[in-house]
Amino acid sequence: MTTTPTPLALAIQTERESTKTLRRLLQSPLSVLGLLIVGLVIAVSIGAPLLTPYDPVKGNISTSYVKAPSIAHPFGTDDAGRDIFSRVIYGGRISLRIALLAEAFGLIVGTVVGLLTGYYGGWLDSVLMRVVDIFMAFPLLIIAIGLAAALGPSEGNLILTLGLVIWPFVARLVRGQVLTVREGEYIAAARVIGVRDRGIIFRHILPNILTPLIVYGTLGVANIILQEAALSFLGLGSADRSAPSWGRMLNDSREFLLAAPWMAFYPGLAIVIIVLGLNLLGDGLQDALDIRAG
Amino acid sequence: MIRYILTRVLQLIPTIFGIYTLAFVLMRVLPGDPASFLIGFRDDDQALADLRRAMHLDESVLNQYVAFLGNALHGDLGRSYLTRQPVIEMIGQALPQTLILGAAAMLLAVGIGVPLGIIAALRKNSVWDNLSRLIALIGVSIPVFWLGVQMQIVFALDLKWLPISGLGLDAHLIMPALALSLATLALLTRMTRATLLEQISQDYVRTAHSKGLRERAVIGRHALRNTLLPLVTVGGSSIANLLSGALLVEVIFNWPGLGKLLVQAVNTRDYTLLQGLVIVFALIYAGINMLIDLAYPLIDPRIRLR
Repeated sequence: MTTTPTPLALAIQTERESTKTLRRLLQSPLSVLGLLIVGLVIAVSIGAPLLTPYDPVKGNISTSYVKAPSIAHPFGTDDAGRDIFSRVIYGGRISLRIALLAEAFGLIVGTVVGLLTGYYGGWLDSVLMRVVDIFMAFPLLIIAIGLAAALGPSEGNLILTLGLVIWPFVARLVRGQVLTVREGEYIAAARVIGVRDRGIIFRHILPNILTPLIVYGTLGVANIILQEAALSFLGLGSADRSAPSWGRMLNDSREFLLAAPWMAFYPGLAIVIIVLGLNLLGDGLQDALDIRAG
Repeated sequence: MIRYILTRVLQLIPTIFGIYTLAFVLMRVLPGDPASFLIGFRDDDQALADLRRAMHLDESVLNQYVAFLGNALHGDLGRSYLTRQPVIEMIGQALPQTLILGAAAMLLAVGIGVPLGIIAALRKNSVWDNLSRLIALIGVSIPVFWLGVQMQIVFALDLKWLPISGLGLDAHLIMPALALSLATLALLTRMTRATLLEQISQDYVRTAHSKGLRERAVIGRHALRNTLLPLVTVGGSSIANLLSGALLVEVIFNWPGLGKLLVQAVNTRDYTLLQGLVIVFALIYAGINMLIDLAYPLIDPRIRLR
């Protein structure tokens, strides 16, 4: 076989590769469970207005002040008489929105830095990698607390904080991948035929390092949900009372441990479920793609 | 060997420098200045100017940075904006409690996680193996602060077995240490199982078996020694998680350590205290990482040759 593969043949080959990955993923029951959980949580969050019997923000304090779970309120009500079931479902929207935006922000910044430092090296690499080292010298939550306290409480700042905290990890991962990929013969070939740096980086290197990034991204979202919940729990989350994330709801519940233990139970359970789902899916993807993410 | 130690210790210097710098920059980002916060809503320009001068906030950022760095390197992290107590003293009082909590949790995690991982690997697909996988799975997915609160509800409020919160080296320590240990326990179980399984399939283990060594000797003296290095690495990196977790656990269980102090600093906007705490947390973390690197050649003689 000395014929050069045509673009079509290559496309078919990659198609087969991804089908194979998908099949391997679906062979593991735990991965399927993860996929189902994540899909379900996303679907429920999107369909929140259709699924919730009550308004998540307005409550009825006179008739339903901290009521235990019942048929009318399956998860009970909170100190403002709000239905916790509805709040948990709407909370999924907030928690997922914050986590996904923060992850996207961190992935983009980290990937760009990783691509540039890995490809060009030199002084840019030295400077940016020292910055990465400094960020990584702090335990993640500590630097997030420092940043969140410095920036002030708002959803935008929370996303910024979480994104700023994770980009160094992404940058290091991407840089490592680029260092191996850029030595490939096809990169040299592309350079010989006059492809510019930008083309090489984005059209030849980036597609080849996407796999570990996907796995990292999946596991990263789980981590960010936990970090966001921790920050909100400490009172460093979004100050917007009308948009409670799960962590925020947990923080609100702390004064009512004795009077209304269900207030603390359900938001936390929601976090456990989505994080478990994402971890299962991430592990499954890692096995299916047969890689070890950093 | 001495060269290795020296290099590793010297590498700490730029890290410390970076930690101080980032902590300083972080506090510079803060909106509004600390003096106007302290003075509150009183509309007194003269008092504000005096206070700013007293706090050296009227000097250039560069001067402030140099002064801060000079003091910090001597261990002077300034005084709390609120209590006027030296920050280093406040941290010194809280540090032992955090260390006790962290050590207890680490002990639990190693003491339960490693044996569980070994059993799981040796009896693959047994009840123990499945139990270990379940623990590993749940352990990484449960937020430590939720776990803590649920434990309080069950063991303190419902069953009344344990005190709900507070400092004490007795029953008070049980719930916080357990809650804090779970994530690390899960990670260690998983890592022990995975590395030991990998080692068992190696040629040297088969050789040891075929020369007639007993199972206990093969696992204990051969395979386990080789799982130690990855375990120390994971154990070390999980100390960062332990530090972050301790912070949340201390808040829930009203444990007067560094985490409780940190939250207090955030809530009262005591920025010098916050800055000092961020630095101390990072220094502890950097110090532990260095100790782990130094331990490598002791565990694995092969590293000494490199």
